[in-house]
Amino acid sequence: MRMGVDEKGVTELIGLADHVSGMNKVAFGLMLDDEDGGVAPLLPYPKESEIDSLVHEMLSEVEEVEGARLGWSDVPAYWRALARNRHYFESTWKKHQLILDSGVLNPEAKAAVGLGVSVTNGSKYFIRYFHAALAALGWEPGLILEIFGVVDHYNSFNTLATGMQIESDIRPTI
Amino acid sequence: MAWRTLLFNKANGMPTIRQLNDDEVPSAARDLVERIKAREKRVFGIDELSNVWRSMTHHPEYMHANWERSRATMQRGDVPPLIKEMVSSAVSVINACTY
Repeated sequence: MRMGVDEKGVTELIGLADHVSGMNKVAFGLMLDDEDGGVAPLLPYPKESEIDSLVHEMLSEVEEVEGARLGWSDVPAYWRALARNRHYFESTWKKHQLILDSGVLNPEAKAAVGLGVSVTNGSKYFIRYFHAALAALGWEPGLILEIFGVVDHYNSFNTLATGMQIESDIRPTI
Repeated sequence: MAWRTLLFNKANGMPTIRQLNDDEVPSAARDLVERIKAREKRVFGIDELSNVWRSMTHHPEYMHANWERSRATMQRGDVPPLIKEMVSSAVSVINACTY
């Protein structure tokens, strides 16, 4: 895949896949996926007194940025769950903003890739997250289903290529 | 040959089954091979049928079904092609599919 995307753009794309995939696994591990069914997450959300003052300030930023991205009124459960650990929270939130809110790929492409990665990883929490992001960007169900078609087709072809142990013969010129 | 031997021979750098040469492709797949070559020339700038499609030439009906899905998902619709290529690349990264 190049189609006019330069090396930094490709790095940005793989960075997006890396970031979303990591968050997918953590949301799964913290059992945030189960909250819809009324099941508590694995770890309790921190009490006010357990949150560092810097994290408090950043949670206000999270509420504003994620609210605009997703149309959700509360701080997303994922960020509340991480807020207990200042260093982990801060580094993850900064990377999240870098990956999703800057660079050459546009917000629609980023949300579509986030959805594709989350579907492939089976992360219910982030499927809802990136679905909300695309919906907030005006994507109708028909457009979102097209992304599912791409995800389906490429999961299918990835399986074929692995099963057949096919040698790669399409490479970009480096 | 055991299935295990058939499926896990990557150490030899060999595909699971032999890739057919152009002149061995079953007649039922030949028209489709030309159509796929034309698209791959346009999209990737390559002259030969890519290996993923060549691996399906053993089974023309299966190849045809995948071709129709490939066109339906990648070439039809309103989502920009670049976004589709990015999603497909990211999915392939997650699945560790080097192809």
